[in-house]
Amino acid sequence: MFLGWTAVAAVNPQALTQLGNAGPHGFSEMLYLYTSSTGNNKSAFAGISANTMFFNITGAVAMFVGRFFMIIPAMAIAGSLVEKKSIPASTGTFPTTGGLFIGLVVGVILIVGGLTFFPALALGPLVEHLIMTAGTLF
Amino acid sequence: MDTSKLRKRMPVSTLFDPKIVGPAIGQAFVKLNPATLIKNPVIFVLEVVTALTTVLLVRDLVQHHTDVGFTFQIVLWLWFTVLFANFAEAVAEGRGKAQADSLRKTRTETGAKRILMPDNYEVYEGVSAEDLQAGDLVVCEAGDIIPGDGDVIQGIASVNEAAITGESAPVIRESGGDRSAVTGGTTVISDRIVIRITSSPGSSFLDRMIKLVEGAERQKTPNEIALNILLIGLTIIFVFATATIPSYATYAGGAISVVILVALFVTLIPTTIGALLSAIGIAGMDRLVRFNVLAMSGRAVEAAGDVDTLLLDKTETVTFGDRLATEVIVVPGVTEREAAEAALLASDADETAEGRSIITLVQEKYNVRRQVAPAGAKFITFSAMTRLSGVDIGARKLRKGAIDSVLKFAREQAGHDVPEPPTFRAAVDKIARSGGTPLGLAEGSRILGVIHLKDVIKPDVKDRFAALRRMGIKTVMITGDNPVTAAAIASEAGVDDFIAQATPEDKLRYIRGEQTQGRLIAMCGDGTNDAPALAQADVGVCMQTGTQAAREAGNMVDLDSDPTKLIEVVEIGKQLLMTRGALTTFSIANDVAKYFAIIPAIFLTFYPQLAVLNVMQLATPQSAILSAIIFNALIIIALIPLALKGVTYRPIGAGALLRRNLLVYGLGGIVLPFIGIKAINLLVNALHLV
Repeated sequence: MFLGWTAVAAVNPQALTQLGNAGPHGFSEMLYLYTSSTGNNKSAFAGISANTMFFNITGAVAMFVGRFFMIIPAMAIAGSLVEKKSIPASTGTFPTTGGLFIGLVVGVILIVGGLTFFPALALGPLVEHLIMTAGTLF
Repeated sequence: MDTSKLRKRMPVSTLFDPKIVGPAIGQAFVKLNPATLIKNPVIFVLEVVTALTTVLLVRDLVQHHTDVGFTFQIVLWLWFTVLFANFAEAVAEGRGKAQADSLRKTRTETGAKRILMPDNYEVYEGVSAEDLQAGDLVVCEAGDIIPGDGDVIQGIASVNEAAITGESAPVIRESGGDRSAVTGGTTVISDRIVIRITSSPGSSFLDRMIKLVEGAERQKTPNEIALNILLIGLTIIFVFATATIPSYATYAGGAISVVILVALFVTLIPTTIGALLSAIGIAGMDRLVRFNVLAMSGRAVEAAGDVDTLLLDKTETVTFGDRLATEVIVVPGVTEREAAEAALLASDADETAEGRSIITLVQEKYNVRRQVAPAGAKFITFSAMTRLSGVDIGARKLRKGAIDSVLKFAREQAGHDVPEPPTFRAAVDKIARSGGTPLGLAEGSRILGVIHLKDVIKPDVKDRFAALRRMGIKTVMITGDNPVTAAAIASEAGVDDFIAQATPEDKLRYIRGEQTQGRLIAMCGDGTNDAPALAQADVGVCMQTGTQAAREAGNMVDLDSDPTKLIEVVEIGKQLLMTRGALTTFSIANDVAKYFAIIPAIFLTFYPQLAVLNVMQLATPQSAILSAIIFNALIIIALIPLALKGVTYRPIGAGALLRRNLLVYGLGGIVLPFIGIKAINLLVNALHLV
């Protein structure tokens, strides 16, 4: 959701006029807007005019799918798990307490999430930071 | 676990046997056919994008673009990646076929003597073994090869099953009872039997096993299906991640060539595990056959990996089937020698194993020599009614048998009530409590003593049970004996629990009870009365010496008839799942390094500052991309041996095992590509390939 809409906005001329800042910062603005729409509450950077027709409609679609539509698959997973038998613990059971489990969950989230969003992040926040430390601002 | 004691029938071929590798290379090209490749979604997607880039390459060649050399090499290595994936599967199948061929050799062109009339077993015609249908009756005599799987319905013969089991000592097959099943391909050594064929041509036990080992009719197991769904999901995510990049590039003011995007996409999708997944499954089944276990489905093997409880019969599994005599206990007033001689004479004509063991015991322990029976000796054979056996020599009447029968005999001989000698009852109780069977010995009206018959436990069994316990599997022994005897044998053998005085219905009830509690239960059995329990159990292992009904009911057959073979089956089941998990982790962890190679390479033209991400210090963007692609292809070949051999299983708990594997394959998967890609990059630059 975030990646798709960011891609659309990046080439849409109407959207581009709404950006307050150019270059990577502008990109980060769009990326953040859609990230926030899909996962949270469509907060946005100050530089972008978020209350415009283009961003309002696209942001709303992103929110509808990302926040509400996602409820259906999550409930389906829960429903499928409820029907499974519960097996008593034994030495073959993987403990869900303890450092190993925490480490595994965090690691998987970081790696799989990272792999998905790394290109976008590289083009937005990352490169902006590097440029900023070299002296140029947007 | 000491594997040296287990006889492995098939020789372990070296991993890159030229006889297998050659045809596998050819097969790799054959498998390029999209219709077959679609079964492996990740590699199919790979093939599609590779075809796309080939088209682009051709277009570039025609239009004389400058960068053709680079594009050509990328396309070349993409095709190599697809071929390597096919090669991995072909090698696994090749090894399976080699085993299938040796299994097939046992099914030579045999003839059969089919009986024409069901009421006359003497008249038969000669037909080919392939023409036999289920329900036909055939005669097999000494020297004949049994034409198909079936049950003996008349006669008794000794059969050499070396062709199937590799065991050269012949076994007895007889009608009725538990030893009536015969397998096609074995040879009758002596006597004559009439067999009812139970399998139609092409679907005998051996045929099904051959198909399974060859991988031809392999269905995807639940674990494989789940893993495939995960891989497809990841691939879809990466399609999005890659497809959105051109718009970002446009925003940043430039364009990225499709070939480079494809290169990024290919390195991201889990090609490593996608390539090796089917090879892992096939290799797992082969390993099972190498341990002389024939499994009916891959599902059974995976279920075995999760088994919680193992149900074992006492007779023929925990103990040897026959009891052996271990001592003769005398009552006061009788010398040991006297009792020993009496026992010897009473057992002289006894053909049972118990009788012969008494003779051996007396000869070895008490040093009494066996003499020719004096003339006029009348042997009394064992009868189920009197429960006695013995000999009458002139006026001496010697008897041995069940305690109460011997006492009754003594009373009859004396004509009046004979008191039990003082220590007699104590000795009988002591024997019963220790798990043995007491056999009374009497001469006329005089009680001489008690012979101690012991159930002998198979030697390695205790260690094997300990190994099962370490894996977290509970062992339960089932026997028809009384609770006292059962308790003694259970504690000596080292099983966790036992059920005494059990009927076949009790076995079924126990299995169902465990299953409602959510546990997976495995059962070993051989008799027809075990069939319902074998069918109900999650993993039913039937012994090779078992009946046809038991084999049909179970989902595995152990050719060595060793009930603790389940240890190996569980190991292989767990290994299968572990290998899949380890390689999936490795594949995804690899992506981290590949990103660090390709992202700076792609975006460097827009934002030179991104060069700081180039942690490997790769020379040029193009060499970076090429190195990553080459690494992606070569890692498949490098991991084929691991996929075929399987990750080593250690019987430590699940948490410890996971931690260890995560370190090796997760961390290793993150670190190794950095080194690999850098090394390849150095080579690429040295050779000026780009």
